[in-house]
Amino acid sequence: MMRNILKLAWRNIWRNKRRTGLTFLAIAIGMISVIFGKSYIGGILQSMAEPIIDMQTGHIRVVHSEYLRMERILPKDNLVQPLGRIERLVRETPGVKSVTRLIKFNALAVHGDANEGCIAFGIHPAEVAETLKLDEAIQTGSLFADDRPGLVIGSKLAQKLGTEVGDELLLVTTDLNYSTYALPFTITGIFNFGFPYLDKNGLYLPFDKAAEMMDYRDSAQELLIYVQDREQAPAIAQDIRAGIAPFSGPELRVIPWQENDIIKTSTPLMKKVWGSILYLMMGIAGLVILNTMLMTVMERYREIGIIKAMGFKNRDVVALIFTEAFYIGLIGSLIGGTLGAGLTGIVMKKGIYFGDSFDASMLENINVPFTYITKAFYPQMTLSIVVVSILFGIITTLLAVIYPAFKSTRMSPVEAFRSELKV
Amino acid sequence: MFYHIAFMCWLATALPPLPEEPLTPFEILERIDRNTVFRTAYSEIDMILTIETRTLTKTLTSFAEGNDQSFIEFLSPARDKGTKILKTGDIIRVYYPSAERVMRLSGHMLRQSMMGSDFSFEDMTERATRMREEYDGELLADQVLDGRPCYVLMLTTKNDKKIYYKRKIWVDRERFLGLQEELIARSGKVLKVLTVNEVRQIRNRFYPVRITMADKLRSNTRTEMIVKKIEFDVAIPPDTFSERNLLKK
Repeated sequence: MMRNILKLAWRNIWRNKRRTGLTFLAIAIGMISVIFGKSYIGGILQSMAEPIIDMQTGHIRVVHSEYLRMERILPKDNLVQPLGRIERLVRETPGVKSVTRLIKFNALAVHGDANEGCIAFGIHPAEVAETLKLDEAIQTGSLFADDRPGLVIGSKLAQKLGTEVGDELLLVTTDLNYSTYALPFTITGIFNFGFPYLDKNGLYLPFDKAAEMMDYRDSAQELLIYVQDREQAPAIAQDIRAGIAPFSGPELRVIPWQENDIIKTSTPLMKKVWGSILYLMMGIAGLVILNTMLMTVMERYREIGIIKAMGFKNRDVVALIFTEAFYIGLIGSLIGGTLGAGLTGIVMKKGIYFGDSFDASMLENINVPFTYITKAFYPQMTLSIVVVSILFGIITTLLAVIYPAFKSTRMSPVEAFRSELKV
Repeated sequence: MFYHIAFMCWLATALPPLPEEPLTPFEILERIDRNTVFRTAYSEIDMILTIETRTLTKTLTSFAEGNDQSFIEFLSPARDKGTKILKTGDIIRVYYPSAERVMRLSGHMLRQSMMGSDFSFEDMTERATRMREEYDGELLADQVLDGRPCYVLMLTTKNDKKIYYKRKIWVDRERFLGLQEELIARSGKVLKVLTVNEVRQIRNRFYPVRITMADKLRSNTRTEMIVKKIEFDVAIPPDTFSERNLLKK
């Protein structure tokens, strides 16, 4: 009997091609929406976390707890030290890909009679080549190097100071011991990250020069660690913590990116906001499928009456309806899944660019790299999103026929003949 | 005639003295100016910065001609040695030996912390302010501060450009010197509190030789300025207040 039902159901769905086609279309549209929506949200969450990891925290951040507490004002003391020993141990820890030393300080940038407060970052360009991508952000000139000493400056800061590549910039700061120290630099490049806070306030200089200015010896404010598998960051952080504990003191904190305050607080919020939008989209897709399936079954009460009169039992009728729904759900979801994955794949490659339409200046005082708003961002589609969406399509289609299937069991063949549509 | 004079003398001593005329705020400020305003001065100073639990000492020398010209040179610590500050009129130039460059400060920069201390460039280079010319005073009360009777005056600047719009000052009634000051912004916020810890008589004037300044916009910091040596009305070497002197090694 089951075999007959399978055959009959297959034949039934192709009997009315237009109706079946419309049902496929409804399911496919639902699938495309769900796959694209879920990938879009994944993209937003990732593109929010990614620049924070690349520009500010690394996958793991080693920092003094007091520095962390006062971070907003960039304290000069409470440093990561002994830097060399900690760095060696970190590099030897399995799973670690690269390590970046970082010095950040408030300074006064002076050009002629113009001066502006700024945030200076001491870096090793080679260490941040893959993460910060500073060389890609340089608009004019080039990055400093050992044979090309100098600094690179944010485009808006350069504009305020009236400086160009090749100009001399005097950098003045108050060092670790509250002595005022100044050094002259040649501007080798002007960068534009599209991250207003940095473009307006930031400049990058060689780590050694920053250490000289702040009078730091074998110390830095932060050590940023990048690992091979970012999901393993908490476990690697634990290993590093255990390794450095004997000589670094209890005040040093080793923080995986998942525990970063901004990511930790903003990700669940974003997940909630975007998740509710996704549920809404899934709900609409589900309703479209439900409506179409209801129509598909209820149009056929007379037909159900006939097969019941021919000897089909209630359970056979229910099995037939569910089998048809399964076929429709499966085919519709596969079509929708393929189209959704294809479309999302294309958008993933090209990206969605908001740069021209978004006024980034409103973010210039916010020290969070919201590049997902100011630049292109890319949906993140995974195999699991496609598989889960297809299952969602099939299950929704099956759920949609519970009511008409139940209704059909309560109907006598005579009654079914009388009613074309009676709900 | 003799008896007449003798009677007058007796009368003068026998009668109770006439009540002392209270001083007006202007007169109090004038008496303060007699102590603090100088034509020229040379001083050697220790500046002790206390930042949370850390204490840092800087030494410097200073030449000043009134409030308009001033030249400060830092002698220690090593990282500050050779840093020179020249004030001429409203412009301050700072020479940084590490960079061998001069930076020109004006406007709001004059109010920035000088060498990490609680004193601003303006505070340090304007030590001979003529109070009676710069401020209108109002006598608020008589109070005793650390055992010394004081006038409490509220001064309001006549110059809109000054960051300290008001100054509440406790003036020693005997020595006519501010013993404590609250430096107040236009908003009414107390920006800094200055306390005089030690006063020395130098010839005919009383002068504060240990002062503590606490910048209330910074947390847990104070700077003590100890004037180890001060000479008034000294002959200042020519070219002292020049850019050439700033660049001289």
